[in-house]
Amino acid sequence: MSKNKKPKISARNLNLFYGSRQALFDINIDITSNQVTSLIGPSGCGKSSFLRCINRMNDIFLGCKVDGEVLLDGDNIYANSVDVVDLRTKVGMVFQKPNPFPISIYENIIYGPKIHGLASSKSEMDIIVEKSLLRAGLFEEVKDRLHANAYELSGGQQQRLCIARALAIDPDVILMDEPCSALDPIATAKIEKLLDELRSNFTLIIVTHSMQQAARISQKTAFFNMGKIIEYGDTKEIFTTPRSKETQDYITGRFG
Amino acid sequence: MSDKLLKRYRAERIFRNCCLISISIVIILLGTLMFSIVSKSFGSFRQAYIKLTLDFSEFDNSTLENTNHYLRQKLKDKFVDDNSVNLESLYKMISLDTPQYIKKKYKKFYGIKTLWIPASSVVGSYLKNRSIIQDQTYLHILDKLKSNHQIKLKFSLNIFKTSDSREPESAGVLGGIIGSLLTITICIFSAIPIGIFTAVFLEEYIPKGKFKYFLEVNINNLASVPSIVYGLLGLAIFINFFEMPRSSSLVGGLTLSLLILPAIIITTRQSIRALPFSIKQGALALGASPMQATMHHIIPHAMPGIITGAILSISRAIGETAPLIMLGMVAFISDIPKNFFDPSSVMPVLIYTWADSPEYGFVEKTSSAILVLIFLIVGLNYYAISFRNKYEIRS
Repeated sequence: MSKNKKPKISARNLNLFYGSRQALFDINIDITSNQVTSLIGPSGCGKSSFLRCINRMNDIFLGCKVDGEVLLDGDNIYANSVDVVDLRTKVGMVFQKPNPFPISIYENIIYGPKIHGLASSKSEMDIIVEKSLLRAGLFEEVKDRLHANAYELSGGQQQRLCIARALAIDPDVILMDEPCSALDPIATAKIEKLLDELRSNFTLIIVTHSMQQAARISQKTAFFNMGKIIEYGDTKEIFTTPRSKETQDYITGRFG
Repeated sequence: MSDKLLKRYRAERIFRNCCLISISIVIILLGTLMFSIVSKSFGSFRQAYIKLTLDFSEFDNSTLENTNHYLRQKLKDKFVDDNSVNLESLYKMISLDTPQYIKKKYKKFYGIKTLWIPASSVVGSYLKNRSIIQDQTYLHILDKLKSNHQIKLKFSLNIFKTSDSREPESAGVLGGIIGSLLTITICIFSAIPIGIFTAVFLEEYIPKGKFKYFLEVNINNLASVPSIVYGLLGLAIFINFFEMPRSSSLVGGLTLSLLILPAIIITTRQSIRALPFSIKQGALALGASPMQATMHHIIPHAMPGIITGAILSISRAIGETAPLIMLGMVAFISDIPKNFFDPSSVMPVLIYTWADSPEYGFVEKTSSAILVLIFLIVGLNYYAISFRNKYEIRS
């Protein structure tokens, strides 16, 4: 971590409760921009919950309570003055299962820009759609059938469409919740390559169950267990010389 | 082959035959119903006429009474040499609506003319099926008229051109059709929006808890309340409290919308719940507000299910009689309603009234009204289903 660089996202004493169950305990983390940060850990350890805290997607679950601060560019996103819709235009999200809308590819991508008033004329929309698809590496495959239903695409294409859709509103941060878990190795490789390219323009945070994936694509890795961050640091260090015994056990496959 | 396998094959055969028997029973019952309705309704497309030679200079055509009197005189002349004729029965040969018909058609006519004028349903029933008429005085007259070729049946579509009447020969379904369409229009435009918004509110906004449970239980119970109770409710609310016009299609439509609201709410909620949560999640993650997520994604994609529920509910509403009886729509209404405030009748009520009428001729009218109602429902459903299919292709 370059010490002089200001963190893009920081969590300060973040606690998360689902009803009476506490899912996250005193999370403190600084995430730097223009790199990929992986969140790893066994199922139910709170990594996805933490990810959803960053764009306040937890708000839609009833009985969910957040305590502490999450700072985006130094501003607390849980402050009363923050508008959730506004926040989510800055922090995009891609889910575990590809979830394109059951409408055309074109409509899928242009939906975000449309509701945020980023595009008004047809030509502006065309540009956004093409640019987003190019960035997501999908343009060549779908350029002849932009008006086909998104459900006609393969799983990997659908997931890249979801990434393109998130890119279309030009966010600063993209959160990815196990984006490759439903995909085959070839589609996974494509997405990993894509993440590496996107790194230069966005801050990427990815939850993954694959240690190899975390090692391949990320610069920083955080290991979660039982709702706590056990270890956070450069990916290389975590995978070669973990400081904690728990981390070592997990990455060598002894538990989790 | 092993015993086990044979046993399985036998069980398969029995199961298949059970299904076959069930569907055969359904087909036979439906076929019988349709056959009896269709065959009975044929009669209503043939109208009886009676031959009379009228001298328009002999009577004042401008007053119905005079015309009636003159027509009776003319009828009597046919049987001038027959003393056994019962005059009361004889006068029943012409319809009470005939003077009106003559007044309209021959307003400015003077001179002698031989006309086939509309006869009453007694003549019609006799010509269609002689054995229906039991009364000897009628038979005596009719047999004589027939042997002299004074009465005949002609094809007529008058049933679609006229409204309800006390005289079966001139009673038609036009008023009922228009009344039904007006009523159902009110019903659609009040029940569907209210139902959808209620369902969305229940699904999207109310947190789980005692209040929601209370609402759910009540809505589910309302769906099984007998329809006549809704008639009383409509009577109390719309007519007594809001003082809306009695017998109007406005009140009828609003009451029917109360009746179908629970069903629409339930089916809409089910089709919203059937949507994957990921669609809503995806929209919210793109920065759509909850309203945008609902309006742009949830409702459009739940639309096929919502429309299916609406079709079923509207079909139920259009065939509903009991609540409308409470609202005075069972009253005799011979005018065709021109707007939502005019007194009007609806098809099922018309069928109910006609089926209850003792006059000859209402039997076939009832059957054809049932057919018209069936076609009305099929037609509405056809439009609704093609609308739904359009939505399904789009999504």
